[in-house]
Amino acid sequence: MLRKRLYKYSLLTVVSVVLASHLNTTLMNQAMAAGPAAKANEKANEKASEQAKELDWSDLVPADWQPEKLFQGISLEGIEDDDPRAKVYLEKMQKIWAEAPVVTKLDGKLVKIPGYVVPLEDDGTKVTEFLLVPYHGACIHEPPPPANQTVYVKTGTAEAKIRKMFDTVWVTGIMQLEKIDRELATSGYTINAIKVEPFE
Amino acid sequence: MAIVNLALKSLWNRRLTASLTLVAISLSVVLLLGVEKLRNESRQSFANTISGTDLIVGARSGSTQLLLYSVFRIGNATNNISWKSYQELSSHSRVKWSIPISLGDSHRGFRVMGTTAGYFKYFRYQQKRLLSFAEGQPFNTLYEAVLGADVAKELGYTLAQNIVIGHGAGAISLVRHDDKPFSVVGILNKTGTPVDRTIHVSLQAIEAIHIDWRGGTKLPGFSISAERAAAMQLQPKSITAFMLGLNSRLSTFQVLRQINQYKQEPLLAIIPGVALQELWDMIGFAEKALLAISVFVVLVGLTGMVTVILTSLNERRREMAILRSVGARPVHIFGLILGEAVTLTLIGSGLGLLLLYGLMFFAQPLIETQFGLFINIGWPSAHEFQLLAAVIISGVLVSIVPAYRAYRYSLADGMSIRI
Repeated sequence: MLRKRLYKYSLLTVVSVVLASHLNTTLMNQAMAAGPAAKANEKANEKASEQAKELDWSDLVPADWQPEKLFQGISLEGIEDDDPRAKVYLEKMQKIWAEAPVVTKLDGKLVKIPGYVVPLEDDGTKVTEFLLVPYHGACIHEPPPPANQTVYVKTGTAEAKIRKMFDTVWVTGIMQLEKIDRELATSGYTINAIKVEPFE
Repeated sequence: MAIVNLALKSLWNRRLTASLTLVAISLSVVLLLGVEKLRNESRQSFANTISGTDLIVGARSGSTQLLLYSVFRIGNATNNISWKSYQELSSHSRVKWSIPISLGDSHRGFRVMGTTAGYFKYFRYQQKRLLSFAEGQPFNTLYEAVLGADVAKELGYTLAQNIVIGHGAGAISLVRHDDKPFSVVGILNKTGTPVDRTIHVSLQAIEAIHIDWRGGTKLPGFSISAERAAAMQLQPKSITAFMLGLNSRLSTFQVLRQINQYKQEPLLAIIPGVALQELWDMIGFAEKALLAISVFVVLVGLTGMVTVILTSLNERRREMAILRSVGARPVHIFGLILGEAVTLTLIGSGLGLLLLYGLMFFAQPLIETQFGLFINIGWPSAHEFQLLAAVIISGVLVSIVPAYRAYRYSLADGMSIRI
């Protein structure tokens, strides 16, 4: 069981590194002021969402983040499930995951990103706060996605009718970096949404 | 205008069948809107009960069950969790605040909950609103209790009153901890959540009232006075569940995972929003079935109306002929029958709406005391207006059938009836 999970972690790592290497750094220039955009009316929102930079989940991983270096010296060969080393490695990987760095230049940018909804707050008619994750089922069965593959979305006045769990949506809004852990000095992504629309 | 007037008068002439049709339509509207209202309001009520809490942790069971017993006081815990686990997890570096809760006792049908003073500081409901005191303050010493608004109102309790807590969660308690009375030190403002129906005491107080209990019952000849119990070591050994607030909501998944994989004790951590959503997904089928049934009842009501008008057409052919003879054209006849049906639908819908609000007015306190659900009587929502509009439009559409038939009759008959 443990070993299976270890493999999963290393597979995820490889995938995210490959994706990160495709990161296009020249596309982040369409900055928008945070304040006025959030308060703007529906028309301006329409305009804003056209100008928003469309992001891929790989864009959230810094190009220079190479977790495989951190995993150096870990060999999965010959490790049995009940090997005490397996537990140590798993904990180490979980730590690396929790401390995954963010792309700092996304701070304050107007972005548009698709993802699955994990609802946090609900006022009875709409979801007001949720976590956006890149794949269906995140958080429930498997190791949680790394900190830089989770986005905390606050919908504010934006219309966000989430129909069901893990509904797929496009979120448009201002990206902000938020400190998660003062001790480890890690931070994560938060979006103040202007618009949440179904992914179709 | 003349046609509308005529339609009204014609309906008045047949007021018995017309009023029975009205009853059928209005009752079906009550059912349709009532189901919708209850669905929305119960969702709202549930969603408003907990807010700002990142995780709820309890003994390993189902996520819905944990949510229901810890927050809504519906059902019971499968097991308690150890105080040691609580202390260890609540001192996690990513945890900002924690509220332990201990359930299982009651006072005249109201649940008694053991907690800490942090509950009044951190627990939030309805879009991050904090609890506030109508009178008094949080408990400080052992034998003090804070009442929810409904407890104080229904039992007529005031500050400084002594109350006795019973063992078990029933309305009538046969075994009571009557040697250790509690003094009321605070009464909370109304929240519209199960907090209103809860008596809050400290965790130590829950320990104290059970201190002379062994093996599930009070042993004869073995009793410890309230004063002696207060002097004893009252550190709780177990609690029912606890709520956690994190420094950042972004670490929710990580902490959730760590708690669910906690090696020392099998624990279950849930995200309240997710658990609530799962609950809705689960009962969504039942809601859809109810909605489908009420839609069919509306259709039955409208079909009844069409039947009544159609059967009356034959006896009214003479009337049509007279109308024709005074200059009415077949189109006017069509308008007359349509006008009658539309009037019936409109009045029926209006009556249904009135009846629904009347019913809600009476049922609201009952639903609140029985189920802890707070039904807010507000203006009909946009969706309810849509449903009402759908009823009226389908009423108009089905009444085209008798109106067209009357139109054909009057074309064929002219001024003389050939039967």
